[in-house]
Order: sequence, then structure tokens, then C-alpha cells
Amino acid sequence: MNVNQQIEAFIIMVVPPMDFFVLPRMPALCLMMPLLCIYADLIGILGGATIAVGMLAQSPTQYWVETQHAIGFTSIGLGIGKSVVFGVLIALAGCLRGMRCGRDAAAVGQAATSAVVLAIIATDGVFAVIYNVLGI
Amino acid sequence: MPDDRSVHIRVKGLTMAYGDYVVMRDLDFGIRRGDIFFIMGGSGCGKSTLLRHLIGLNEPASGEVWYEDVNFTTASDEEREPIRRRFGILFQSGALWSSMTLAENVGLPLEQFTPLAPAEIGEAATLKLALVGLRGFEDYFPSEISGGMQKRAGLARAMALDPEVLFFDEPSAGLDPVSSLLLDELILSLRDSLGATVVIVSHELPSILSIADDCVFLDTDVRTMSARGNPRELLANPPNESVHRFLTRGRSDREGGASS
Repeated sequence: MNVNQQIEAFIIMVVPPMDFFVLPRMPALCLMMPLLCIYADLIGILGGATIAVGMLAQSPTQYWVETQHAIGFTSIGLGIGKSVVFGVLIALAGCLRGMRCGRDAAAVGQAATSAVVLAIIATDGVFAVIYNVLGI
Repeated sequence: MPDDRSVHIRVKGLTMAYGDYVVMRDLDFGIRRGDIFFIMGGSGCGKSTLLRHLIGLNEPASGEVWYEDVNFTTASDEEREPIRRRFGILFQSGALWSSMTLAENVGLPLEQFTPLAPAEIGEAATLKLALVGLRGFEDYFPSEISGGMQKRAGLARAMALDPEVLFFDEPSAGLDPVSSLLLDELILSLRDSLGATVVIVSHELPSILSIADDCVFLDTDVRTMSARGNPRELLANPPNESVHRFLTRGRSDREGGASS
């Protein structure tokens, strides 16, 4: 597999692989994750509106007012704040698993799976516990 | 064995192993400065592993690798750095960085280790790419060009810093006979212009017999090197049966069968 030799090429040329593999991914994910979060929030609200108006016979205005009541800035803020931390964690988990990835195609799949498990499942669990303890 | 030039790389009692599995033991040879040195042997005999030991990607189970008067095996990362900086390596698959264009691939080592301005780096990268016949492909990504072109681009990157030692891992694997002949000529002209020591892992007989100055033959049967010297002389005067079989593509068996 090509992936591994690319990292070795960095090591041999005495270019620290961290600088070129890890560092650019970190700010990129920290920037993109909140955007993705906002996008998902909007789509969620829009989806809710479709169901409420289309199937539950609510008026759009009613939905809008109720949504404003139900969703506070705390919820949105928490979500966006969490997404920034997620950006860092996903970058770290992805790079960690990616750097240790084996040499064949199957290893790439395994590395991707374990990175997802590490990044999302493990860290989301930690967030759930923290929010629960803080009562927010 | 003529030894008119100084030994550049010396391998002393090297044993290579993956865990308990010994790949090759007791390798002992020197590579003279400016030579084109082949590491040859059958598939899976540990040629690439030996190369990885020479450049420090694998650590020996026992034995040492020396670069002139520096023991590379026991050296710390800081001590290895200046030696590695004079390496140029062409990996088997090219190993170009897939997220960068060819010019960026070639330019990165220059950017890291020379005080050149970005415009000069661009010019230098174009020049190196032109040397391997890739003029006009500066802005292509590795995935957009053919395997042979990737290999040539890898070569351009390997020689970006005018290295003292060039390592090639199966340079002609996956190339057609004509391209691999052109690559051989390129390697020869590079050695002559840079004065670099060239270490090549290969089992391509035409290349071995045409451009090698010296070689070592890794023999899977005895798990160590069983021949050493100029391959043309080895062919004329084979020290043992497995070398003869290798250099004649197994023809010695048939001749033996015909004469008996």
C-alpha cells in the first residue's frame, strides 16, 4: 500500500510527518466541524418543520414560535462548542490510527473503523457523562 | 577485488529478523563510493528488507551499518539526521505525497533544507522534473499520471537535494523493457553527474548485467549472501549454483540436463 511509504518518505527526508499530516488537519477540522454542526442544526429544524406542517397540521408560524421556545442558545452553543472539541479529537484519532495503519487495503479499512470508534463512540460517551453530571 | 575507492557504506555482521524469523544472517560487505551497487536475489529473499536496514527504517537483530566513519545503527536520531539528509530514495511505488502536485513533491525537500525563495524552488523543481522527462507535468497530482511517470517523478524528488547516496527499490518493477532501459541510462547519467553512490534492489537481469559495478547476492537457501562482486564476472565465473541459476534465469539446469 502506498500510504505507509508516503510517511516513510517523510521520515527519510527528515521532514517531520507531524507538520504535514497532522497539523493542517487540526485547524481544518476545528473550522469545519462547527460549520457542519450549524448546517445539521438547520437541516434538523427544517426537517421538523416539514413534518409539523405537512403531517401534523401545524402552521409554519406556530412551528417557528414553538421552536424558538424549545431550543435555547445554550443547546445550540453546547452543540457548536462540542463540535470544535470533536474537530480536535477526530483529527487526533484519525491521524493516530492512520499513522499506524498497516500496509494493505484491509488495514486501511481497519484503521478507519478504529478511528471512528475512538473518535465518535468513545468521546461522545465522555461528553454525555459530563453534560449529565453538569445537568445541562 | 579492486578497492581503489573509499568504502562509503559498510555492513558488518548484519542479521535481519522479523521477530524470531531470521530473514538473512551474517551479511558483511562494503559499498564503494560512486559505485552502482545491486542487491539481488529471488523474490522474498529480503532484498527490500536489507534496503530498509541500510536507511534505518528497520533495526538490525544484530550487526551494524556504517556510513564512512559513523555507526548508523547505534547513532541517535540527531546523529542520523545529517546522514539521512544526503539520501535520495525512490520507493517501490514512488510514494509521492498524494495531496501535493509533482512540483510541490519535488519542491518540499528544497523548501525544508535550502534557503531558496519560492520562485527559485519552483524553477529547480521544473528542472528536476525535466531531467526525468516530465516537463509540463508540474501541476499534475500523482494520481493523474501513469505508474512509470510516478516512478520518474519519485526519482526527481529523490535527487532534489543532489544526494550522495541514491537508493532504489525495484526501480524497473512495472515498467516496460524500453522504459526500464531508459531508466537505467538515467541512473547511469545521474551517477556520473552527481558522483553519487547508487544502491539498487532489483532482480531485473538486463539492468543488473548492464549497469552494475558491484553486487551482493542474497541466497534464500543458505539465508545469507552467497556471492559478491561484479555480476558480469559472477556470470562468467559463478561461485555457486544458485548464483549461476539466478544470472542465467535457471538455464544452467537445462544445460546440466542436456549434457548428462
